[in-house]
Amino acid sequence: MLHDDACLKCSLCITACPVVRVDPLFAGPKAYGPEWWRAHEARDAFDTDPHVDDCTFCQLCEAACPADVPVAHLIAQHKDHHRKKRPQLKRFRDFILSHPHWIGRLPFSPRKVSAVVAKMAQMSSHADFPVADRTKFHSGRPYGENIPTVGLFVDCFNRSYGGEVVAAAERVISRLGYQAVLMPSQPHCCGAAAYASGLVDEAQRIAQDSAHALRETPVETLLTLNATCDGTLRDEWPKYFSLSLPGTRVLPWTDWVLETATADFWSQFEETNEAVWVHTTCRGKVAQGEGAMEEFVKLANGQPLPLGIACCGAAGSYAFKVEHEDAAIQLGIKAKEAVHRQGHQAEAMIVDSGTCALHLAQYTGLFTMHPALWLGRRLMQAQSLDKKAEVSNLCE
Amino acid sequence: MPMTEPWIIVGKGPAGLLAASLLLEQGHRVVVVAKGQGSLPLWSGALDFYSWDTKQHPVKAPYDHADHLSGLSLNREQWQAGWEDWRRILQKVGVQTQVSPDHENLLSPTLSGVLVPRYLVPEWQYAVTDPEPVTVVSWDGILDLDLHLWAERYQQHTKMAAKTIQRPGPQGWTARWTPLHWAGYLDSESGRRWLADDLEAALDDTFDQCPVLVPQIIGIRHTEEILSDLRVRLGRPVKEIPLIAPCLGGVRIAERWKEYLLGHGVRFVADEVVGVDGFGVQLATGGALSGRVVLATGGVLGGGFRLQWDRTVINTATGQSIAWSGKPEDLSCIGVSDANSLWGVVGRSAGGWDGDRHGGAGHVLGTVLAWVNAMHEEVYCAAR
Amino acid sequence: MRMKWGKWLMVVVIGAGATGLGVAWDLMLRGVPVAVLDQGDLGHGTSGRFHGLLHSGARYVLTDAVAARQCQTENLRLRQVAAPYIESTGGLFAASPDVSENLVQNWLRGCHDAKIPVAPASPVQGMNAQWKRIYEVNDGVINGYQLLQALARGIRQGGGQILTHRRVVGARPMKGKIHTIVMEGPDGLEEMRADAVVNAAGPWAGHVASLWSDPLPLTLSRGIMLLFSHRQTPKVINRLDVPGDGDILVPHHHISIWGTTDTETDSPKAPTPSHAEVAHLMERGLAMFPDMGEWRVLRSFSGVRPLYRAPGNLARETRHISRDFVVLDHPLKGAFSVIGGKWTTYRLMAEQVADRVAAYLHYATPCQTGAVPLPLANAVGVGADPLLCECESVSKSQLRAFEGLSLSDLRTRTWFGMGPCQGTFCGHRVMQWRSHQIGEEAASKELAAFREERERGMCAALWGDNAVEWLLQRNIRFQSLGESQRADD
Repeated sequence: MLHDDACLKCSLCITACPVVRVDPLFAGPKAYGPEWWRAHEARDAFDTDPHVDDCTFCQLCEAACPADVPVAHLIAQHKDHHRKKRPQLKRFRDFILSHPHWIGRLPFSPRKVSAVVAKMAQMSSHADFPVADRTKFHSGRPYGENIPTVGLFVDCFNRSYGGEVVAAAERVISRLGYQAVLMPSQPHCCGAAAYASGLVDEAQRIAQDSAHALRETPVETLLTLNATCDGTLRDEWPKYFSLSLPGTRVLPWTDWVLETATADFWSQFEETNEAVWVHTTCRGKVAQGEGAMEEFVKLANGQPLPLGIACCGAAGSYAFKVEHEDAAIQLGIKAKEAVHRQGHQAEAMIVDSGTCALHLAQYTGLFTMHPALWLGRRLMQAQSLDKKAEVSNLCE
Repeated sequence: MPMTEPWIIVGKGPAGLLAASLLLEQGHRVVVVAKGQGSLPLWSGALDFYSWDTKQHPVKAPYDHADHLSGLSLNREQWQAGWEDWRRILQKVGVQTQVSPDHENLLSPTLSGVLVPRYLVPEWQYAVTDPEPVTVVSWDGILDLDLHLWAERYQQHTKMAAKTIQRPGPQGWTARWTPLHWAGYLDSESGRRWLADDLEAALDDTFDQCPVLVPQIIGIRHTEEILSDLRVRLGRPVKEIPLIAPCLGGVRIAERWKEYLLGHGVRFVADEVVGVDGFGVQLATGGALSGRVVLATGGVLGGGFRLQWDRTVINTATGQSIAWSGKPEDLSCIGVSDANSLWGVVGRSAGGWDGDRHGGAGHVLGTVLAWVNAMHEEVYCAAR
Repeated sequence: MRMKWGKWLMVVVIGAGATGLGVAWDLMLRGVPVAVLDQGDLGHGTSGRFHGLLHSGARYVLTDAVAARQCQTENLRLRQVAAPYIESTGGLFAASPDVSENLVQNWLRGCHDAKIPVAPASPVQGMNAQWKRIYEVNDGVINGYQLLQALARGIRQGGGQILTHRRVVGARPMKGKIHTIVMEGPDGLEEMRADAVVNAAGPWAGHVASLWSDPLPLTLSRGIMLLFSHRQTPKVINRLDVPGDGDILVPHHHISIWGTTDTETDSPKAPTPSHAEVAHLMERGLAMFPDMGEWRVLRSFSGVRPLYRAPGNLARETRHISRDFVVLDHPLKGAFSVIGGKWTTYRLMAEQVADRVAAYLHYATPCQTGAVPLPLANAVGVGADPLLCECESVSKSQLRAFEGLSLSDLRTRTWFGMGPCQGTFCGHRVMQWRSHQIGEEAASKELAAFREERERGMCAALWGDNAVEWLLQRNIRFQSLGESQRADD
């Protein structure tokens, strides 16, 4: 890491951190990242701080740094060094949660965890958990030879809990004249979950398996449905895991649609001016910036309402852990306040991550969904309108 | 008059956001490309303009000295109109500002008790035309504001009395709190209650008509609301003294400004520009954006220029190396003459102007104004 | 003027660097009453301006076998008596591809002769992969300021005096012997009775000796060093070659020091490094560490070596003057001067000086510094109070232990303001604390001097993030803090 020593002490990272604003014991990214790192480098046994685990790994600190210090990744190192000091039960739990591709295979998926189970597994009894979505998302159509192909990365969450999202994304892809190969063929995690929990070596192993699986089907374009996986595959793999997908361009499904769809495509959407909240997740802001989903909504003749919060508090498995209950609730309340502040102008919200959608739904009471689902639905509306129009044309 | 080609603003510091807002007002489509956070949170939020004379005395009437920025060739009326533009945009963004009634600088105390001239000051910050006696309250652990020293300097500087009250922090406070921790706490219901109760308990009848000054920790989202509630409850105005970076004033402005632009269809691309030409920009991650380009990459601080050990300077956006005398004091104006007719450069000093020493908002505004005025015909290039 | 000190036998040592304090500590252990004077604080001169290397001696085996052997012996001894202040990092010697195999073999033989343990080693991260011949020796790192403070503590505990910020301005003899030392301190002129005086004033030794009109064969040489904000390597890295410029990298606690150069100078005051010197050092560095241009540089500083030019040594380059030391006595009886030498051999120098002084005063007790360990530092709890300096973790309670010292002396005692931000975010905080003791005006002056000193070092290496930091510092000083005066205004 070339710039790990470049800290200017300017504290811009702290201004970007959502956790310092809700957690009085969290000293902040500068203290847990570069300051800890510098001391740690100089004296091998420098003390770790238990509150480093309160970090959501949103990486907004790192994106804010004017000196390219990998602030969040230094914090991940700090968490990794702190790992051995965590109680056994939490370590076991973290290990399990670091493998979301295993969890998705569990035969049960309760909305809430009972108090007894919560205590045993050190899970939050407050958080909503995802419920399995058995929607069959693969169209089952054979891949055509002469149709341009894009890869669609089916992340752990959407594979088990977001079948409808994948199906909708696929539908839009085929409407744009492409066919989607769902990848990887077996459940694999990009490693983001393990990295966020500070299991750096485990993350490397998981990511390596995943990269291996993805390389089986070489594609030129790989579309992601989750901002965290997107940033991990494209930015973190080469930088922190020395992994790459040669010849493959990774980008969010939304951005690809913006790039690919022509005016013709957009013209089919009726001008309903349907308002919808837009929340670009923290990891989405880091990986791509902001405003793409708003543009997307606008082009589909909707009216985007940017939510205006940094991180909703879901942060992958963060909100599921009992010790983060308080911070996750506080951050969730900020989302609710943001909706309230701007006047309750819409009932639905689009967000580029499944766990965030779940968390935001719990706190705002809104109907939250991936932009693919939102567009897919509008597409169906448009088509049924088309059909109606056809029918009425025929009648005339 | 929407245009198909967007304007690409590189950088999201004050110059970038101001340029984006002015273009947006004129109906253009705008994309902001920036890596990092922008320098606004390093500012208190008060905008200075030609603050000091050569003997380091604060100067009250800024326009009389505009010739020092002669490269900008703007007259007094244009300047004033420019400030009004900036003020209007801040208002749209949700930040109310105060200016002196006679369009001179206001005086505002720094955290060390010295008065400095500021032109445009957000409502939350204490600024006056004529100094008055004040009461200053601070809490343990706010390291940068030393009340004893503050009062000594304030009295020396203004010949006015300053009463100081030091209070313990709230329950749950730790030694590692930054202003952001304070802000988060005071934005919450319990924090607001604590603050009002604590201030009420702290104040006595001394100077009961005078304003109460507190360090800049009063929330991010609810600042104005909290301050106006306090005014009602305490019967006297409560205003902030800006602290050192990270400055909450700048954080408030940056967050609201970004939200405003997002709400008006501006797209923020998180990437680094590694090349510029007449058609657009190349991005570090491999993509490209086409449109007309404005470089608001700031100075060395903003990452617009990278100094190397052999004294070459690289313009990070164009990748080109440019000349530097090697003298530290010349850093504030490197790169201005680098402006190519294919793109605009804003936010840089217009030659020989030491913004760190004398105030930097002047050349942010001057360059943005000059460029926006000239944008259709010719692109601003100060040093030629 | 009145006699303030010294009713009894007294040896006055001029210079509170490693040599001076070492002499005083040695004499004190022999039971001789001592007082140490310095024009500045501890380590004001060369001892506070070195790279921190505890030599194994391997650097000198090709050119100076005596110095090499001395270094090795003293290296092992200091690990015994000054263990808390020595870091046993080990050191690598790496030969560039241009270095002949013959030279490497000579070097290995030299190490063997000097009894320096050598083992083949692998490169550290970041090193030029072409440099394949690498050996490890027992180099270490001296925590100079802490060691000086330990010596000072030991001297004080034994009843000796250390008077800092006192410049010696006169030496008065009586019957051909030294009798009184006149010094200028914060309260004006003071006198001190002296039965013997040791001139350990380093580069100022010539000035001091001129007080008793006996010129010294002293040559001054300056060395430039570059400081990087981070510990770049776990071990000391040396260039395996005939000693030259830019060939030592020392990991010093948090930071790394890259040095050095060797050019003759005429002033004992350490000059600001020039761009040419810094660039030269960088060029040398890049050969060994190709990424050095990207390292976060902090500042550049220089130190002045006092070298002893032996009669007949007409070397034109200061590098060819031995790093050996010499103890001289003067026609004025009871006056001794010590010049030359190195940090690593300070104890040995002190021993030889003390031997001479003890003999002169008829003290028979032998030297004990080779066996008596230095006292430990007082543990100062960091406590729960907020950190004033985040880079180096300095809290208010740590400052309290040094109440009464100026900002610049506090800096070298607590290390505040020495980290990546160079005082940007802590200078004013410490100044505020200080103003409660000495008032606003005096504290502001100290802050201005502190800023000026930090700025000078930063501007001597103004590139990369250091340049950004410098601009940020100015912005905060002039805009946020309203600091408008500069020390030189």
